[in-house]
Amino acid sequence: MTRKPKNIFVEGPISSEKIAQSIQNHSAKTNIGAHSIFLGQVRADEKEGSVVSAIEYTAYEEMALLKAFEIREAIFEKYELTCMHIYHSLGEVKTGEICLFVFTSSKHREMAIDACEELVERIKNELPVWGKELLENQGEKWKVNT
Amino acid sequence: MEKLTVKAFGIIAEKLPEQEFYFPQQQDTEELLNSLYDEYPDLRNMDFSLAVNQQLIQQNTRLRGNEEIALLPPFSGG
Repeated sequence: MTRKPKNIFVEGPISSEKIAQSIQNHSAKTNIGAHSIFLGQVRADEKEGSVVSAIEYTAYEEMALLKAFEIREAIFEKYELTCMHIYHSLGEVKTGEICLFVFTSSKHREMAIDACEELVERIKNELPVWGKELLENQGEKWKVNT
Repeated sequence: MEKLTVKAFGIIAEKLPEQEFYFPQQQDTEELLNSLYDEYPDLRNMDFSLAVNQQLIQQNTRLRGNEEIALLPPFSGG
């Protein structure tokens, strides 16, 4: 079966219910021995004399989905994974809320952990997504990934 | 008549009058960049990459007609 690009975008923050449900959905797959989960949370950085209150995400969606698919295929090729899920927020996500949820599952922990780490790095470096930090003083600043 | 669809994102979108617009067809991406710089001088000082039909390009690329061009500032997702 050939896989097709899946939507990875979620409007607004990723809820803890969605994350819990996603874990629950794997309980029937009893060949899994390890899940690795990465959660990106919006941080209240101090910027230009104010504090970040939220990040507003936009994306070049068509290209991001193609790229996410390409990354997904490469990671499946490299690691022995049972499954892999990527969710990224669009629109406004307030500080303390979750904006990125990456989930890899495998028989053993090493594959799940390594795949998750590589996936997060590639998502941050290669997906055409932009975050604009909204400041408490009504200012705005385009986020720069370090 | 053939024309390009140009889409701007992130900070670049804020520097241009419109986020998405048509632009006369160009021979290649180098010619396109020069035409864009002439039309929108603000772009000269900005850091961005080009995508042609959703593919990031690293070097001058021939344009055949009606491509979708994207102006992509450094990514900052996650």
